[in-house]
Amino acid sequence: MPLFLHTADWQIGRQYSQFAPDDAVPIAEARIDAVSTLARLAAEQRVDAVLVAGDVFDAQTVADRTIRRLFNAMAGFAGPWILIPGNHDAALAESVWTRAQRLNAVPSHVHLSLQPQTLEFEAAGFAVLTAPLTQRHTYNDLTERFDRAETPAGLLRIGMAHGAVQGILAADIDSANPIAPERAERARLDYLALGDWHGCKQIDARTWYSGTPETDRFRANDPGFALRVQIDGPGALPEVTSLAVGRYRWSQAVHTLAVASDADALIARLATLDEADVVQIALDGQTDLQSLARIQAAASQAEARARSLAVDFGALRLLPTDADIQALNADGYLGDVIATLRDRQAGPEPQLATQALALLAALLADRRAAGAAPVSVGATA
Amino acid sequence: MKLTRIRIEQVRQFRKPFELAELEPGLNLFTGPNEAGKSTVVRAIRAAFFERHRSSSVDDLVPYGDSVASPTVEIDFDIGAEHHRLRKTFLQRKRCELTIGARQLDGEDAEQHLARLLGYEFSSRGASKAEHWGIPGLLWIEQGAGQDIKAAVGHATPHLQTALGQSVGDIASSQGDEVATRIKADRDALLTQPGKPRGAYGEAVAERDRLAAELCMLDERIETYRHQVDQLAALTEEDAADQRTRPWELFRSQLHAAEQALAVAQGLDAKLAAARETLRQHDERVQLLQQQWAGFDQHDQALARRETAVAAADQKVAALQAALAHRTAHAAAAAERHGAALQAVERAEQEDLRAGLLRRCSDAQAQASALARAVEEAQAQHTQLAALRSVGLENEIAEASVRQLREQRLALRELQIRQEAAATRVRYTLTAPGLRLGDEALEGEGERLIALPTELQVPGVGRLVISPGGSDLAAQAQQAAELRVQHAALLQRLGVADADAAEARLARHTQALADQKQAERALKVFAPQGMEALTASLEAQHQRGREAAAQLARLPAPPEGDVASVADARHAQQSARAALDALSDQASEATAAVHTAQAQAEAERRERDALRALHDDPARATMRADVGSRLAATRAEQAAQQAQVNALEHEVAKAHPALLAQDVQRLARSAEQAQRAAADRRQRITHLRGTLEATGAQGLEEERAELAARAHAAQRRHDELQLRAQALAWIHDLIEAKRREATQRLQAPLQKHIAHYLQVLFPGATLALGDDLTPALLTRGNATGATGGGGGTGGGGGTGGGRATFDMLSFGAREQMALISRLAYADLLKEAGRPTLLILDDALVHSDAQRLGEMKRVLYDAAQRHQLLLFTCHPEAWRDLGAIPRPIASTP
Repeated sequence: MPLFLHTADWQIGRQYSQFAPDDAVPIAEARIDAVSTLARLAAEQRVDAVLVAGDVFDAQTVADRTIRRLFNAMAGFAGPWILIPGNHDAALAESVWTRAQRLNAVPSHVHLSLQPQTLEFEAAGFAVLTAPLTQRHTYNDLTERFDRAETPAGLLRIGMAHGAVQGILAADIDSANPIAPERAERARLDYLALGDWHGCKQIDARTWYSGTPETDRFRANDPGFALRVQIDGPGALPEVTSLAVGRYRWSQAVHTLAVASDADALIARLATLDEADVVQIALDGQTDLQSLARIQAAASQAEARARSLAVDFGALRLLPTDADIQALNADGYLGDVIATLRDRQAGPEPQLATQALALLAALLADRRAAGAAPVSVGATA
Repeated sequence: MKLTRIRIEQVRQFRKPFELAELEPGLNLFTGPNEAGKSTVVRAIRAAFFERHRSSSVDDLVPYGDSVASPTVEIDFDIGAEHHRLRKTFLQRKRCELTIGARQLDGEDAEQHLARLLGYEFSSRGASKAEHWGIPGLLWIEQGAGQDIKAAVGHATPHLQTALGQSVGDIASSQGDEVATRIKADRDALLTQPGKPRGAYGEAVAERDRLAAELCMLDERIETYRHQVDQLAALTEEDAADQRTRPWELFRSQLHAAEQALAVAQGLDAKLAAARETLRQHDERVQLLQQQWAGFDQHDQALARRETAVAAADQKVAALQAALAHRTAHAAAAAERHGAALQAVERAEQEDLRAGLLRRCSDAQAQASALARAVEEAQAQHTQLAALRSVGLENEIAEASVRQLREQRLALRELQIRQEAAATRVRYTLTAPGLRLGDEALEGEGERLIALPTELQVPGVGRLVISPGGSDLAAQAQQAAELRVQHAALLQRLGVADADAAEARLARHTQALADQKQAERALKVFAPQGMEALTASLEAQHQRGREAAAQLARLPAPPEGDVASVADARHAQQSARAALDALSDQASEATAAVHTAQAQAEAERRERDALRALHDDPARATMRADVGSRLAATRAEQAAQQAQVNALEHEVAKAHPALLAQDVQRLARSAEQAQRAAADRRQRITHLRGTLEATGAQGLEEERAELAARAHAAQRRHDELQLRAQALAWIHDLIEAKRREATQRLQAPLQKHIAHYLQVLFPGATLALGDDLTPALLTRGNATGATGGGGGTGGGGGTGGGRATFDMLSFGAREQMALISRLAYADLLKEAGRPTLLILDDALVHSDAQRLGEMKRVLYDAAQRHQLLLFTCHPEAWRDLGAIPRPIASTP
């Protein structure tokens, strides 16, 4: 009753430029942590092998230290790990793999399949057919050879490949490294472990994308899992369960402010964020100065809690109310300035106008808080 | 506020009281030369108001050397309807009294009251300074400070603002200026004045660019790395193919075959070379024999040529000898002709001589007879001449003496006539003799004239002395007697009887002289050189004739027939001589030619004889036959060898040894190259692997990912700062603009007054005020359609067309603008109910005539509303101000 842990797209060495360095480093670290988690899960589940379907590394030239750290992270599971290269870490004449081998970083229980081959695990009762990428992009189906590959009778036929199943993944229609959708059936595979698609996705009864174990982008396609695959015997349908692995929840939203309660809803949403959240919120619509101040305060608090929070105020327009202006004590020509800036938000450079308005409002508010304290209290009361 | 009277005492040069009374409510013009005291009056007015009466810092008011003086100033003035009198005494007797109508204020109270009223302050200690002067400081313009207005306005600002209603900053926005300052500070922290990034923003730009550049470099390295990986793959594949096919081995086997073929071809080549050598030897021999054979033929030909030459030479000699004989004959004939010509010449000369001698003979005879006649004539003349000379000598008399005689006779005649006229006439008729008159005895009848007292003896009677009555008769008688004596003496000396005889003798002498001259001329005709010469030449001619005759006699007898002239004979002789010379030359040339030809013929003959001797040698014929037979044999051998060579050449051409050699070379090189290429490739593979390993270990892409993150962050920070900087700039500009608008609204009343005056100087111009209410920007002319205060550029200082900031104006124009501004302030203050008084000490000295004229209109206009005290040392410049000039002079 062979049992596998199917994973892919570890993308070790990936960096996150969109985050502040303070956030980016832990998020990058989480990728290696995910491998430790996988090792732990594999050990716990007592799987017969861990199938890693490509894109182990995010790039060919990662630091030696990164290579070593990866293989160290795999130490938690002593059983066989079967790794194939993907498009990011293709088995080129010189590759991250040849370097890993030169470094002697690859433990003996980790099988690197750098050539198309059939690995037989007789004792465990399965054979693995691999279709590693030896170029960055190929335009023919490397799994085609599975159809003709013979394996000893009685062993499960497990396929491993990295690429885009044709006609299924709408976004990847024209992508390289094609894989025929009916490959598992045509090649009499008991299971086809695929990599490349970062979300966890089933193609057919025997064909799955495990997705990446640690989310690395905001596209919400169900990442952060590994697959536990149990197959009772040759010909039996695999029993596939997804196991949560990822640490961070990535989310992205556009929040439109139209009425005062919209700000409240946003503030409530921000209040829910915790250290596992990696969040981007883009604001649009319009608000008055007081609501803006509240949102800014809430965002500032949430920022301190969440792993990463980015609120984009760029598209938000400020509409100071008369009360705002009065509260800011912006009389005389300052009032004219504020009115002009407010009107300019409808002009060719709205973002600049908004920024100017916010700046001026903040300055006035500061002065009110610092200098004219009694007046300010009276005004807000 | 109108000053009506000023009185000063013990102030500087005014030791005695000096008073200016009955001041006009409008314009007052005070004139005086330098040092007259104008400035002292001004100083006194200022001191009266500004200086505390207790102040000890007013030493300058004291008259020179008078330490105990008490400078006193008394000023009467009206404010509204109220009459004021201020009397202030400084130093020795410190006192201040202010009378307002019936009210009286003293000391401090009086001073404070005045300060409030006029809008100034007192110095807390020491002398009053500009910052205390307030409104008067603005309206009382000190000498030479007319253009300097900023500070004065600053010190009067509170009053002006009160007059305007509010202060600019305060009315515009309760916190506007502070906010503007903050915004400007924030903006300036990020942007330079022209708007270039600086500070944090500048650093962000630099950081972004630096990271972008670094990223770019890293991308290049990664690209290189990837390219090298691809290269490595390609090389590895090629190497594998090489190892499978081993192409160099094929080249080696082909090389072997080519080498063998080449060896065969090279054998043939050697044989061909040997055959060609043999053929070459045959060729040489044939050539040699042919040369020998030709030698015989040439000898024969030479002999024949020589025989012909001998014959020709002989022929030439004969011809030349014939020519020589002919020439010689000609020359002899010519010599003969020449001899005859010479004789003819001799004859001609002889006849010529004869003719000459004959001519001489006859010539001599003719001359001799002519000379003989001349001698005869000359002798006759000579004889006559001698006769004439003796006549001349006989009658010789001096012409002067004859003239003297003539004159004496004339004088005597005259005396006689006068005597007779004057003399006493004595007529007598005597009957008896004896009567004697003087020595003369009278008789008969007669008459006598008595010129001298004469004694008449009448015999017997006695003697009568008759004395003629004329007084000079005696003298005349005396003179006549003397003259008569002289005349007689002269006649005697000349040897003549009387004067007439002398005249005749003179005539004869003169005639003799003339005849003598005539005779001499005649003699000269015949004997010009005298008689002797004439006779000598006669003799000479005789001698010539004799000699010529003798010579003729010696000549031979003349030939018969005609004789040619000497010239013709000479000419004939010369041409005969030339012909003779030419022919003699030809004859000698012909002789030389004959000799030369004979020598040549001899030489030719010797050559011919030598050749013939050789030709006739019997050994030569034998040798000739031998050469002929050897030549034929050798030619046959040569032909056979040529055929052999041709056959070999054909064979060699078929084998292509050069191509074969190239094949060998090419194949050897190919094999070597293929092997070397394989080795090189291996080396490159090794090298590439090394490079890639090294590069790979650097973790380029991971590094790039990190760098990209940093670049992204830098870009983000840049964008944020850029947005902030732009926003701040916007706010800053907006605040400036809005503030300017507010300021302009606020300054409108003041602007109205300025415009009122400015139109006089520059119609259509505007003078914008700064925030501090001082003149800032003058816009003139119609350069821009500047409408009332339109938001022009603030402090930029652009001066396109008619725009100029106050500081850029000329000194004169600044003073004018400042004065206009002051007048406008005065108007504004007056409208606000403040007392105004304008004092100008020597103002507008830098204005040109036209501007000054316009400024006078301005001042006259202002004087309708304000009292104006104008002090000047140029009264002529202000004559047309419309004010009566009042001289100021201190009386010592």
